[in-house]
Amino acid sequence: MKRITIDPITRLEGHGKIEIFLTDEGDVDNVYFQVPELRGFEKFCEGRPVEELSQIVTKICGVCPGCHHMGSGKAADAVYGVKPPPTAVKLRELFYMAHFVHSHIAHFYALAAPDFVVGPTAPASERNILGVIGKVGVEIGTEVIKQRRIAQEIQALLGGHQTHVVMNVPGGVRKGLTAEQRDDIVEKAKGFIEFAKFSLKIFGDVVLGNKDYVELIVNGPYSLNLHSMGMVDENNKVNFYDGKVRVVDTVGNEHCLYAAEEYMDYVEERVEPWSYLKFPYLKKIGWKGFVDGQESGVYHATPLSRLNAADGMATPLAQIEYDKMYETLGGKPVHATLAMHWARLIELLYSAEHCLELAEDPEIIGKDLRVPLNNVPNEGVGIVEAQRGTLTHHYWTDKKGIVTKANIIVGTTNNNAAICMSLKKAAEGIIKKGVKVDDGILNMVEMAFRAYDPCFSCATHHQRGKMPLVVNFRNRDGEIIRSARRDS
Amino acid sequence: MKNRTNRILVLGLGNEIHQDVSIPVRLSDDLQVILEAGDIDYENTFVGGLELLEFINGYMGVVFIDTIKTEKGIPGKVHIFTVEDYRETLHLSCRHDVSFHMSLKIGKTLGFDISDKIMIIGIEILEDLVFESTLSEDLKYKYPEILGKVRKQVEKFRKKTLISTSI
Repeated sequence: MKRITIDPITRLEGHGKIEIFLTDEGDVDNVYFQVPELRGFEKFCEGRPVEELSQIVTKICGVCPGCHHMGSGKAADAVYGVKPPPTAVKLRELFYMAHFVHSHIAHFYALAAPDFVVGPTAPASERNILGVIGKVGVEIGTEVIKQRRIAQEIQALLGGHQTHVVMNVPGGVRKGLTAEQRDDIVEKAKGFIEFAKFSLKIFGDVVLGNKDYVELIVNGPYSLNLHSMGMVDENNKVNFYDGKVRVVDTVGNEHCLYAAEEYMDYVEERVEPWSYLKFPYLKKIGWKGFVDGQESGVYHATPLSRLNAADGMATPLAQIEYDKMYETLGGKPVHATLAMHWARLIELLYSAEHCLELAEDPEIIGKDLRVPLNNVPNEGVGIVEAQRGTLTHHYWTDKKGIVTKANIIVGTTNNNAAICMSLKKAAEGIIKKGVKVDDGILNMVEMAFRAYDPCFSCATHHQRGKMPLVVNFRNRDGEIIRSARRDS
Repeated sequence: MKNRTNRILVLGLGNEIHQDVSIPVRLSDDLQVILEAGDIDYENTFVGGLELLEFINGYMGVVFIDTIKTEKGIPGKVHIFTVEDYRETLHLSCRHDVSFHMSLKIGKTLGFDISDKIMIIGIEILEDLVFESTLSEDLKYKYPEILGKVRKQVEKFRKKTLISTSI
């Protein structure tokens, strides 16, 4: 049996390794997606005052600090049994929409677009953001950097710091917004909307306008028949900050709708001996192994699953794009993994529109920013949608509010089993007897996990090195018979 | 944005709660205290890649202070790199967008004012996976020596940059 190792994976935050085992005939026998590092951040939370956690967890990594800040802030509210006033909730949401704009722009242009705009099998030296700029023009590249920066400025203004946010306190936020600052954000949000519309146009022109790409998305080896998870508001519309978590099954029927504090009734985690990252699954179905289908307990929590799990978008332009996506891809739910990129851009538009809605809301400059804490702290759960999936923070404290235990289910963790299965399916469809496993072929396998926008820094840590892709071909005895390496 | 034309940026890349990964932030903060303010600005961040562009845009010269892990490296060793001989440090590249070199290339392509005068200081560390708000005992002991070496390098860089710019 031959063995192919992709280690480390390119354009992925944190450590990760793909092991592809081949039969003697050259077909794929099995695929493992391993996260070979120990996490342990929850332990670091123990012994800390719960009100400090929302600041500490932003330092898990620098990729989605705002998500951890929000999840943690909501959990701390719950620990004290309080609900922040409307202005505080809207300020948090406003910050959060800017965070989504910032992150989704980065993913599309730096991580996803190289595969489509430059081409999935283009030389690695061109298949990067510089290659994208070369194709779409310097002006667009400048706009990408500009819009990211503007989103960062809004986060820094509201959050006190763009990365290490200090905004939330139990029961509210530290500071409000002036009318002048609000006016500035209104103008910036209008710019976000135009840029999101433009990004969807690029996707339409480059991806949907290319029948080979559409064929790859719809009929390529990138589809998995999974249940879909996402947070929804009271109208079952997509919501990133607040609401209930809804799971629809593989044919679109509601499997469950749960409040944050009920998550343990619906989601359970399991461990595998070959990975430090846990494998959550739907508790009421149970773990049936790495299989897809209606009987499987495996779900995904991604931009696409959020759209699948909801009845629509809460803003008008995003709703139009939502309808268009499902009409094009044959109705709900969609199971094409690569459609996650499209869903992510629809979410970008929603974030931009909602950013404007919030900025124009008269309550956003209100002065009532925090409620008093009169209850004895105990236990609380906070759930938000992170860019990479549903994020759960669960804290237990003593009577003084000192954390005695913490459990965090990170966005990417939800998708661990799904990523493994997507990789296997892609590898099975692409690597076959007689197919030369070159850089382009390996990139097409990597596209399966890249769609999930995985980030393992929350679970692990940053990876050093020149971001190489090392491929080892091994015989049945595990001896390396050929090695290939590329740098991104 | 304040005028950066004739100024140098010292950018520490680290995380205060990641034990020895915090050392660039400590160094940057301490340099700010012991060096004359003059023409140097000090900033700290945790992520590199595209994020760097906004930090360095317009500066006459940039000193990055980051951590590094090399094979058989001795903790506390101070490595000095230029852009050309740069060896990957822990945070100047961002896995979630682009590498350090790529970010500089993108900056130049997009018309950012990216100085050619860049120095990268890499502080050798052993462990980058420990959550702790203090340095390891080893680095705590060596810290004054490391600070002294880094200070000398920054002063040398400042002098060289000012001279070459005035010419």
